[in-house]
Amino acid sequence: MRRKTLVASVIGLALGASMTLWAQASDSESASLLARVDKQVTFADTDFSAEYLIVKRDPGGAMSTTRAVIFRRDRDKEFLVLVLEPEIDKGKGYLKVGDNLWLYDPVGKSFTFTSAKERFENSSVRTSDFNGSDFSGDYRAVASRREQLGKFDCTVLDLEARNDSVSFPKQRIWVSSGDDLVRKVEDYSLSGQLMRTTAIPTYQRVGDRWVPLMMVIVDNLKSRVIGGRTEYERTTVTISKPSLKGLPDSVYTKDYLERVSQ
Amino acid sequence: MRGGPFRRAPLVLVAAVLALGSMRGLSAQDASTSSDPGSGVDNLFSNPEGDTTTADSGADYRATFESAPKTKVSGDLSGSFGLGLGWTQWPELADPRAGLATSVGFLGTTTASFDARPDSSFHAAGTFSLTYDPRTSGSYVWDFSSIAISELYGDYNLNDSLYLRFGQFGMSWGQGRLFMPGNLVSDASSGFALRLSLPTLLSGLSFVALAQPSFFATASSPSWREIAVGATTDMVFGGLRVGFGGRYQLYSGARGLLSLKTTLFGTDLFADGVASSNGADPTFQTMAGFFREWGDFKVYGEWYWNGSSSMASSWATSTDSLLSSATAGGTPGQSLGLVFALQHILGTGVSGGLQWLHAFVDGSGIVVAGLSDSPWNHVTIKVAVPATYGASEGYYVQNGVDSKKRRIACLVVVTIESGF
Repeated sequence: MRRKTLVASVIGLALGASMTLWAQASDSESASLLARVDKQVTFADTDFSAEYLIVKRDPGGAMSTTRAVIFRRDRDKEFLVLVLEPEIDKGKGYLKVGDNLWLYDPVGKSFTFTSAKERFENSSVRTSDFNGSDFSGDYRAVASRREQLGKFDCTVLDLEARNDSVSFPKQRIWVSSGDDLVRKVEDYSLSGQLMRTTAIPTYQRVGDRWVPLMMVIVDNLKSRVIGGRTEYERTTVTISKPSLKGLPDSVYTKDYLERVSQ
Repeated sequence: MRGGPFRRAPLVLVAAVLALGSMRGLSAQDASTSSDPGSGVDNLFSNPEGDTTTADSGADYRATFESAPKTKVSGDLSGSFGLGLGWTQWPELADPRAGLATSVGFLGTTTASFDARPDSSFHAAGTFSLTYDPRTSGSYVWDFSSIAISELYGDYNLNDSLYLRFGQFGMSWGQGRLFMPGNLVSDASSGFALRLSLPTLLSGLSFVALAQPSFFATASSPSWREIAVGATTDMVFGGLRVGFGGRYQLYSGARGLLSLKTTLFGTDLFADGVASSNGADPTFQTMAGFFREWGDFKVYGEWYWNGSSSMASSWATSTDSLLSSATAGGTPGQSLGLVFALQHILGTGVSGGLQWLHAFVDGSGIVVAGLSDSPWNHVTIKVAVPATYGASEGYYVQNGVDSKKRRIACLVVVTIESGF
């Protein structure tokens, strides 16, 4: 009996050890995948600028449209967003330098320094969505599995934040095989509440990097039951006319933002 | 049954080790039980448009803002009709007509603006306004001799490394929205100003010079020594923004500003400290506050301490709060302000708010509840209920939003406005 117990214990330990080794290997693979994901969408050597068309549809059907231009410098974690439409918000600007965000109101001609106001123009878009990707720096994978997402064969990673500067402490991402592009993201609160879902079915290649062509963001916290069905606030973002033209340092400054706001 | 617990021990051990090995995965699974819980986005992946290649457009979007359109002219015309009903003393049930005061008013305003950007190095802009208020003018025609220049300035850009702005324009320093001791340049738009900025130095370094008739002992022979000069800059250390500012004028003396701001647990926290000296002992003012928003709901609060003994200091100016234009910040000692604002009430286009201001020096205060809606194109309706408390000579009783100084009132303003 003792021998059987001993054998079973040894088998158990061996299984445990192999599980731990597998988990470590899996950790390494997940970290490597996150690094590849970041690399695919990060413009490390150039500035990136483009037009963003953001269409928000409230539950029930009310629509609002925002058109903006973004200037992005991933290597310095900087971006500048200038609103073109609607007319009433024209000239509003968002400047992010490092972890700090300035908002410029052309009516009051004043800046607000914050990292709390994360919604962009009251839509489901967060200001952090304009950042370059840094999954490998901000998150660690705690679980992974394979899953088919429509026509995409994906690796699904459950992520937990490494720091508190991110918008969401937990995320689940679907990364398509072969191109290492994030196709779907679910954002969770610390308690596990699903807060937002983002789908990126189509990318566009610009230079040697990728940018979403269109993405759909669903705010899982904003919903109404209409005709027996639950409708969520839904924001569609279309990115067009991408440019890799180099920009002077002064573009990513408050003074520039104030100068060009009309 | 003998040895039963020992018989199960290996299985327990195996299960425990397996559980340990997979614990992290399980904890992550807790995050969600469904990959598409009603979001309805998964159908986007069943037959998506294929990934594509887009040529680098090479576009320089700076031109969109720096030099186009070359010249733009715009403006608006608005008319506001107001009705007010309230009591100059707290209403008495025995005699509800005691202190009853009504008011009716009309205000017409037109503004015209131009914005010219002949090239990326020069920009000029101006806004002119004309107000028609029969209550104050006693006239029922527009008086075009009273056209006011709201702003008129030019910008010059030297190789993206130095920006110069000159003319009449507003500036804002400090962080207060209810109490603004830190805005050392609040009077900039009242005269000629010049600002020279070095955008890439620190987080921006600016020098300013202000000239106004009130600065000069003899207006007909002004001296350059009487011009006010100042500078401001920002620095960021991690998540802490530190701002410095200073201003000096020959007669009003020197003022220094230290601003701090950070964000903790999603809440903005900020503070301004101002020291001023005019040859005598220095005086101090401090403002500290917070801001937090949850979607459409916002909460904003400020505490203000004014170390000077005078009732109204020249640089503690009127508020630009979410609700109204209640005068604030002119009292010595401590004051408090709190604002709650809610947009899209019950899913409608109606916005509402509640503002409370209190001065400890005389125990006076004001509470204003308000609603705003735009039910039709170009039409905005605002309803406000201001109520003041404290002695009749109290600061907020005398300086509330209601020019009739009613203790409690209901004000309705309908504005029709259109731009061109």
